[in-house]
Amino acid sequence: MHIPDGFLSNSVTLAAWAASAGGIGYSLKKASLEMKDRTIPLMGITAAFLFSAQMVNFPIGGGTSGHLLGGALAAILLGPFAGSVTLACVLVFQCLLFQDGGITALGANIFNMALGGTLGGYAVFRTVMFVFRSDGGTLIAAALASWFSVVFASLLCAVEIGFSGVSPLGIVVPAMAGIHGVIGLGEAAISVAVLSFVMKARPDLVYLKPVRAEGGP
Amino acid sequence: MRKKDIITGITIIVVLSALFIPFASESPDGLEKVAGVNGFLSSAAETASSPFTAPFPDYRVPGMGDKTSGVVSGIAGALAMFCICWGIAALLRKMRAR
Repeated sequence: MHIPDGFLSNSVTLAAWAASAGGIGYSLKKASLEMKDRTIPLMGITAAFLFSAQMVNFPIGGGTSGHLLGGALAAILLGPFAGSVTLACVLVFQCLLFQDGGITALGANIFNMALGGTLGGYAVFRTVMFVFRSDGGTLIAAALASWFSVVFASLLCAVEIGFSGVSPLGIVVPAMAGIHGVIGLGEAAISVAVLSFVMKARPDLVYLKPVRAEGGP
Repeated sequence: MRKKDIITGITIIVVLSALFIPFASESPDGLEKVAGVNGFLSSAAETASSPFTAPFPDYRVPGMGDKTSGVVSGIAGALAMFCICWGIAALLRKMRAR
C-alpha cells in the first residue's frame, strides 16, 4: 500500500511528514538506548529480507495482489523501535531508488507502515503474549500481530485518502480494510514461517526480553 | 550473531529472491485496486507532475528484461539494505556508548 504522489492533499501530506519525522526521531532515540550488539547485524539481515520479500506480490483473488510489509515481524525480531527504523529505511530506499511510493507521500507511507503497522503490530503481539507464554503462543501472537499491522496501516492510509478529499471516507475505509483483511492473512503466514524458522535456528535472536523478565518461560 | 549466521541469512535471502521474485503477481496491489474501483487511480498520474524520477522506476534495470530486472534489483537492493541498516544499527549503538 505504498501511496503514490498525487493521492494526498497538501495539508495531509504535511501533517503526515510532521508525524513521521517526530515518530522516527523518537524511535531512533529509543532504538539507540535498546540496541544490543547481537541486534546490529540482525537489523541488516531483517532489512535485506523485507526489501526483497516486499517485491514478491502474492495473488489474493479478484485480480488483486498483496505483499509482505513486515512491520510486525521486524518489531518481534528487533524490538518495536529498531523495527520501525528498519521499515522506514526500506521505504526511503524503495522510494528514492525504485519510485515505489511517492516522494511527497513518503511521510505518509512511513507513518502508516513504519510507525502505525510496526508499533501497532507490536502492541498486539505483546498483548497476546500476556495470555500465551510458550513458543506456540509466540507464533499465535505473531500471526495476530501481523494481520493487525497490515489492516491498521491500511486504515491509516484510507483515512489519509479520505481527508485528502480524493474519495469519501465511507467508501475508502471499508474498501481498504476489506482487501487488507485478506492480504493480512498472507502477511501472517509469511511472518509465522520466518519467525518459526528463526526460533528454531537461533531462538536467542528474537527480541522477547520484557515478557521473559516478567516471569514467562 | 556469528559470521556463519550472517552468511546463512544472506544466502537464504539471495536464493529466495531468485526463486520467488520472477513469479511475483503483477496484479494491482490492495491500494491500487481500491483506487481503480473507486475511480481515483488517475489522480496519481494527473496531479503528480512527477517531482522526482528514481533511477530504477518499478525495479526495472535499463537493458534487462522485466524478470531479470526484478531479480537483480531484489538481490542488489537487499545487499545494499543489509549494509545500510547494519551501519545505522552500529551508529545507534555507538551513539548510546557516548
